[in-house]
Amino acid sequence: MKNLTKIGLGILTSVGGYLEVGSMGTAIQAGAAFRYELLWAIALGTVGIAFLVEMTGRLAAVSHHSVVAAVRKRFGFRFQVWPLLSQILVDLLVLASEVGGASLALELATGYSFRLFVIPVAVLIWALLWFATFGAIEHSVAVLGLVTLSFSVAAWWLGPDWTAVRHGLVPHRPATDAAQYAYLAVGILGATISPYLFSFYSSGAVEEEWRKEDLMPNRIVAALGMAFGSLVAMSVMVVAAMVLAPRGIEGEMYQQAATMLSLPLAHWGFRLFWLSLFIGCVGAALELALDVSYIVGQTFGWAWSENQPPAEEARFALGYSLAIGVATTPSILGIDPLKLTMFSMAVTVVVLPILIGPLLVVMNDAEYLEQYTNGWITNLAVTTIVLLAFVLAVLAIPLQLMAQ
Amino acid sequence: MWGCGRDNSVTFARLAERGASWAASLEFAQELAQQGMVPRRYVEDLMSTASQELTTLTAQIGDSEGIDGDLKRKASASCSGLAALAGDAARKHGMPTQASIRELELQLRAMAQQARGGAIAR
Repeated sequence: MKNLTKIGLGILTSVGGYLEVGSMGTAIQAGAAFRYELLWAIALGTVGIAFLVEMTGRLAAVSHHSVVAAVRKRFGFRFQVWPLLSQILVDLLVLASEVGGASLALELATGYSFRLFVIPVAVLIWALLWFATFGAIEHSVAVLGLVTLSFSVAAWWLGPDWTAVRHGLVPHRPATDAAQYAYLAVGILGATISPYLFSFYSSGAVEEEWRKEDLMPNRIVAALGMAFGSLVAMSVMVVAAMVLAPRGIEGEMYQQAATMLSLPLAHWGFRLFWLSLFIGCVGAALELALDVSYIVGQTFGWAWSENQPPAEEARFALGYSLAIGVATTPSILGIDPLKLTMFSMAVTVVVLPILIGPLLVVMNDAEYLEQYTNGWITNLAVTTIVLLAFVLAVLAIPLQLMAQ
Repeated sequence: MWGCGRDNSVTFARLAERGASWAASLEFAQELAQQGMVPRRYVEDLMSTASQELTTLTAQIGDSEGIDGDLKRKASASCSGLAALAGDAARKHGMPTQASIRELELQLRAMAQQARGGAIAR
């Protein structure tokens, strides 16, 4: 019974927390430009993140180490500095995108420029981290995040062509704009396999003191939670394909995409769109800001826990406070949140091998995992997906930059 | 050389399509606002954003390389026409006529199509 509750809560958290600025923005643009043709990228990314989440949960349950702590212990501090710098860069870029996305959601709701909301949004995120515990943040984000299921309701109501949907789950060469197609695929993979997801997950597992008895719930949550979560992202793509694409609306800014739920959900559609964007972005921003504190604290061997009062872990609280402060800069300067998101997702894919390579070494070390080291299927799947995404990014990013 | 002209044409077509996409967004938002499905303040915000983006697009189209001058002028004119319509509407808290937006959208789509046909490289 206890395990069932844990599994249920875990799946709920995965579904409610799946959609954020990256997964939403990339799915909208892909659906508007290529209809269902990039569904495969969400599916592939989901397989990758499910393996990674399972791996890092297993690492925490068996060795009681988070990803960063284990890599630091295995390779030493000098080595860990490089993955740390890469992940801080990615986390800050994505955090900036989330802060921008939440502010943009408020622009849609009120009609006032998103720049006016950047500081209030940042203060809200900071205050939640300062006053709430890990469990409170995790569960409230998950429950509120269920509003994003409105995209799945809309997709079901619109009744997509299921043959075309199935066709989209297999990669095909696009008829036109191959560079844009590849760039969007990279963006989707970056949004789906975001490093903060698994490093945050492993830190949370250590905070919640997982043990070997948690291995089975961890495996089920990783597989089912990510699978159900990816259905929400796929729904966003389907709705964009059915509402925006036939009208020739590209969804290059959130303002263009904000009407996509209005046909299936009528008067509620517009409100649910900005609410989903706001909750998804604030939820992810909380996790990202915490992740910066976690990875810095774990690298330097400082005390780290969201469950302790800030006065007792000043460096931990300072970490997320600084991260939030830095992340407000692009939006205050007026950089469009969706454009920043696409850039952040592409950078994420480029640095993935730096972060996942050392993790794979640790996951095959019996000193940490005892008899629970990775099997060959996990090693092969993760390596293939990460390398494929990296090669695609190296090819697509210059082409897209030249085209612009 | 052919590849370069082809790239220029595709880049130009993408710019024209982005302009047309803004026009389509304005039409759709107006349609929904008339049915009371989206708030008026959102449509005004969209008009204002579209005006700024279309002004940028007009400049980018004007700077396009390797494209027939006449086609470039026509596309720039359509884009700046859309920017003006959206900007006026945002300032006056009104809405431009859908027919005028539609006409400019169709012009931009036709030019994008022509560019993708590949016959307009200078």
